[in-house]
Amino acid sequence: MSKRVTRIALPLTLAAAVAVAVALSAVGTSVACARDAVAGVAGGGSPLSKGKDPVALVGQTLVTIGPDGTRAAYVHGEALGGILRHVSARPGSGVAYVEDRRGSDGLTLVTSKDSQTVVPGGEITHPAWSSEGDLAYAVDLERLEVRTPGAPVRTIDRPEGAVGVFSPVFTTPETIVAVVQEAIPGVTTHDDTLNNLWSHDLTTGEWARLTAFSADAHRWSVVRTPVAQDTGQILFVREVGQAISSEPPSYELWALRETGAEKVRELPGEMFLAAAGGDGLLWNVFSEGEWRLFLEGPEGTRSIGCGAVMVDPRTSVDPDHEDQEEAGKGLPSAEEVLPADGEMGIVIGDFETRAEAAEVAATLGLVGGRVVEHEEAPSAVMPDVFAVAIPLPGVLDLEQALDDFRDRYPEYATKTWLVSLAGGQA
Amino acid sequence: MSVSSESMGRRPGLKRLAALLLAGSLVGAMQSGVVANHLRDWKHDHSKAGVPYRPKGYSDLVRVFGKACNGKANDARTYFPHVDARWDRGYVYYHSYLARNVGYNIRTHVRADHRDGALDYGEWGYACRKMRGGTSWSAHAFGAAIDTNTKRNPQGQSVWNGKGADKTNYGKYIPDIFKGNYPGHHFRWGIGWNDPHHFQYVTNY
Repeated sequence: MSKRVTRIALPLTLAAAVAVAVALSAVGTSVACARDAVAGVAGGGSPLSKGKDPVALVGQTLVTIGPDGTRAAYVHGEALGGILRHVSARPGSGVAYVEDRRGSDGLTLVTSKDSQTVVPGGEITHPAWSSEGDLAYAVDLERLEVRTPGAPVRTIDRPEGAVGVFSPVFTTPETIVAVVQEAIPGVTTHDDTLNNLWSHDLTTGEWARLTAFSADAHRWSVVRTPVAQDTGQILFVREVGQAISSEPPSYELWALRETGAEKVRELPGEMFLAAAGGDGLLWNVFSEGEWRLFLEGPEGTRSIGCGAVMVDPRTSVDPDHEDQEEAGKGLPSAEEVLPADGEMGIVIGDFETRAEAAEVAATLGLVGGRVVEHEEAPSAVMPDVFAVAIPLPGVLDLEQALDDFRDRYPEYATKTWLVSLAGGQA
Repeated sequence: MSVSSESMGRRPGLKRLAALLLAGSLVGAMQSGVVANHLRDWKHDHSKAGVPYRPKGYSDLVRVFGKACNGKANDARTYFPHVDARWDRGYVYYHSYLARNVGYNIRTHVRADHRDGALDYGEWGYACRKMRGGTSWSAHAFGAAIDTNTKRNPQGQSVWNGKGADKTNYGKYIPDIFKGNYPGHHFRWGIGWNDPHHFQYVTNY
């Protein structure tokens, strides 16, 4: 595998920096992250425990990111055998991060007093500190918990009618803003479709909706990586896409102000907030096979190396999804292997009438092309409509065949699919 | 967004459609009955084209299927009888890489067994979406996952309800068609993470 060194030393605009990152990523090569000098163990009382600087995760190490982008690495000290993800730092409170394991995850709290790892039960994500040293986090993306030193853990159920809740952020010691996953009537999916920011008053236990984003069965709108600025103002990334489209979604930076949520600007690509402080923003961008950090300030944006803050690992396996199948199991056995027999093809459709389909078939004048309906090609065409089928006997590379067809007949590019033309009579 | 065929490195025995069309070989195929065979003649295609290499992990998924929401991720389609609701007929879309495995192997297998009644709604494939609460792309965004019988097997459920649209309990007939070795077709079943209606063509993701 070829390796190239990324050098983005000069300040760039955010768009330019991300464009460079995305362009390099498109090359498809993986560029190794530079190894950080280890400053110590991520233990209680360590420089890291002060929570003064943002912290990012690089493998099994925690890296502090100074205001000028300087880095110092600390080794994760209380390994439970999982992978590290989602880290939060707050001056005066400490550092907290998740150790993702199969089943219940670990949550490590590093403070000036000590370091402890707890196992709250369930899938733990998105830890966030208050200025008073309380720690909030999401459990199974379904509820929040708040740990206060010397007090029982408080559970915060999601708002009534909501599907989930995650990414809590303290705006005051008694107020949490979190992302709430809301239901869309008639839409059932395990993926995300609609998020809004809600605030939760820890003294009254009440939730209040702060944003009014909407979505439907196809258009989705989700909120990611809310971060609190020093002023208490929340910045967040909104991602909007079309489920059935093959166009990439759009990314937007939003701010939650007293007057409501306002879009700050479009973002040049997939990127997530890692921290906000002073007049600078720290971004996570997946590039060249790694999560990388970009520091955006008044003088531009620059790459400051690898690290993940509130983004999910992509180069390591989620332990809950790790393949448990035995080696070789699941592969087709030799006696079942049969040669491809050619009952595949391309359809152009659908058409409401046979005549419409026949006209297209005649216009194309393709040898072998003909009108089919459900009874003849039941996997390819639904009942009561018609399509033009072009069988591909002996063609092993169906994808290339479809590309060739679309190149030759671009006017039908959006109406063509690969299908099975296997017969309809059992 | 599209992915060049060369970068995906899986184009053995390339035969161009254009060459086929010009050669007129389709006529012979039609006349010889390759199309519209009766299902009594139908056989699994467990060649490497029918059950192709299954990627492992995010990087391998991108290498094989391309980036999330790319143009090939919904280039294949198959008719299913219950999409958003029972007898709400429609198509499930998925990546062209799986055209034989889903369209020819899995769907035709169920039909050849006369067990369409084992299917139930919702039945979905490609969806350009993020995983719930995270920054990771759903396997559906690559066209590498199929959901079926979702209504009776929602996320969070740790067991499979085998009752189909015809109210008959087919046990694990549908999962067995998708997952593992014969009669399965090498999909990874999401029941391991309490997502029983989910079948994806990638492991460690």
